[in-house]
Amino acid sequence: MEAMAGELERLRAEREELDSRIRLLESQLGASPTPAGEGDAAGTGAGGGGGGGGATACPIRRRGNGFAAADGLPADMIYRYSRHLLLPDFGVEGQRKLSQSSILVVGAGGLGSPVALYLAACGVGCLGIVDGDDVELNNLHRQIIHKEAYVGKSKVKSAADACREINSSINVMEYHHTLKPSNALEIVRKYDIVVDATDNLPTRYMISDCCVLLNKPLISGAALGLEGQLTVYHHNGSPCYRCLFPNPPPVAACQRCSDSGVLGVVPGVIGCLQALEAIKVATDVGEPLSGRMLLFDALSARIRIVKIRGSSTVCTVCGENSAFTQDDFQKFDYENFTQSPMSDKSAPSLDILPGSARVTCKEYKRLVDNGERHLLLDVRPAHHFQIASVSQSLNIPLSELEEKLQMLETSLKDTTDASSSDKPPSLYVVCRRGNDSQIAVQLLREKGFLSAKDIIGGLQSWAQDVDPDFPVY
Amino acid sequence: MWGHYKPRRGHSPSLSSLLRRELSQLFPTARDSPLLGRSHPRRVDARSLFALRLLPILSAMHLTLEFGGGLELLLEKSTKVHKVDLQPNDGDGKVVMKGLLAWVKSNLIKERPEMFLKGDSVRPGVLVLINDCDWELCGGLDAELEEKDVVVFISTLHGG
Repeated sequence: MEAMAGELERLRAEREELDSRIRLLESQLGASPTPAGEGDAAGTGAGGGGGGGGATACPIRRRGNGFAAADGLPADMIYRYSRHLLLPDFGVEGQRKLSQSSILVVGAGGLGSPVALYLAACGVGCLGIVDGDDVELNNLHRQIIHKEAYVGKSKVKSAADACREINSSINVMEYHHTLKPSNALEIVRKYDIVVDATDNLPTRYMISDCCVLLNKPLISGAALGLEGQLTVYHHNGSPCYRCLFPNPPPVAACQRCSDSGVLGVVPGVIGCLQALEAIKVATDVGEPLSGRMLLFDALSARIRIVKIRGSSTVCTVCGENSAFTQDDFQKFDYENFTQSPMSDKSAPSLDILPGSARVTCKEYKRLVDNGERHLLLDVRPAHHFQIASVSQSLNIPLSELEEKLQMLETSLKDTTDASSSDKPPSLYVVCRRGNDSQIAVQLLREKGFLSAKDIIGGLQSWAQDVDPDFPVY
Repeated sequence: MWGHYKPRRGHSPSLSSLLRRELSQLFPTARDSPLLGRSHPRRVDARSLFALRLLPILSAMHLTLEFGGGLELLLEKSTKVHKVDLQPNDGDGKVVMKGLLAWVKSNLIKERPEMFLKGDSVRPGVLVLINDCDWELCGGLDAELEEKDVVVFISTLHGG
């Protein structure tokens, strides 16, 4: 049995290797006919391939059966996209434009999942996907393009494979790296339309600037918690991101999905609408959401569409007298500009306490094992505390700490009474990652709780260094 | 909800704006006005009783304020929609955005006002919409509000 499992593993690895070589050669050729592989996502199916676009453009497969009129669609495309062709407002012209367009999706996450799936299914000529992350288990509730089997693997590969499984006739380009000022121009240049499906502020400024410099319409979506927003920047006189937000918001106002949570279907709704807007812009059908913004409130089931300002003549990037060049762009420090990282994950870590006011998780574990009398104060919000907590810890959320000092005093006194020693019990403070606990200790020390100490790295470090069974979220 | 956009100019005056005008004719200077003056009204006749009791109610401007994108967290119980009655804060019975921001700060914001305001305007990253229209297109801080206007404050989202 073991030998068979090993053989299976070896064959799978071999197939993967062959797949990636096929894809590489295909992308180098632009488009090439390959025999339809059995269950092979990378196979192109039957049909001839033509030359791709120019040297810099994203290659688009041209297919034909030799019988269709020169300006008609090939028979297999007619059948596949017949429900599009039946739409009087869309028709053959719409489908043809779609099949000749190239769209870049930046981010293969909650927004990018439905965007990529729909754009692949609807038959865009070339679909580019950029993402530097790997699939994590806690992505799957919303990033519906990824399957369990891909956890730990690259998001771009996972997304591209899923798109090829849906539609083998389109060209899917994979960019397995984070979009940065150093590579953005080169990648974005190859596409007609850009979809911003990213999860952080500096990347949003960067993509907008890049689209202005290269004159590409930008379909921008965002989702957090139970709300979503959507608009089309730099298209038909609409503003760019900087016209609307010339100055970045304070760091404290930038909530992340990894901190604040997000209901899976919310980015799904916004992503679907982004795919729709991309299709409208690509085919020049209907009125795209330029100069307007869609605000979605999932909780109250309300969608509000508002009119926003046009592009600003004094905008530093798209304005009349803008001196912002591609060279400036490549040198621009977006993380410094926004004071936040180009990632959803790493929370800026505080360091505001003297070393004497801090202990590591391991040190804390040791004093628990030694039976030292103490009180563990957990300052996370109540709904975090409900997810998981260390036994016998007291929960007072940081936001309520100042008004609940009396409660803390009482708990400390109870701890003292229970102990036979005269030594006052020490007070340790913990939170999720070790930032709020520092703020709490600072506050507590000011209020006279001089024994208060912070547990470095919070419960995340606790799970990592002390108790591997402690749930991570 | 869908694209409802109330024109800012050229509609007929509302009942309360008519009453406000009436009131300012009755009491030409702020000192005389039972609403604005500091001294006691000298005589309470039917007219000033009406002015004292009913006009404050009638002359209040009814506004709907909505907060979203996380700004609601700064408010009591994180309530998103607030129906408010505002007394015009200047002599000519007008409410302008600048005055509304100050009113929101002192009456609705419960914590971290710096997450809502910066200087005398909203902080960067907040969009203000008057009747579903960017306030930049309606006069910004000087935009004049009218009866039953809907003002939305929304923080831009970055997640995905």
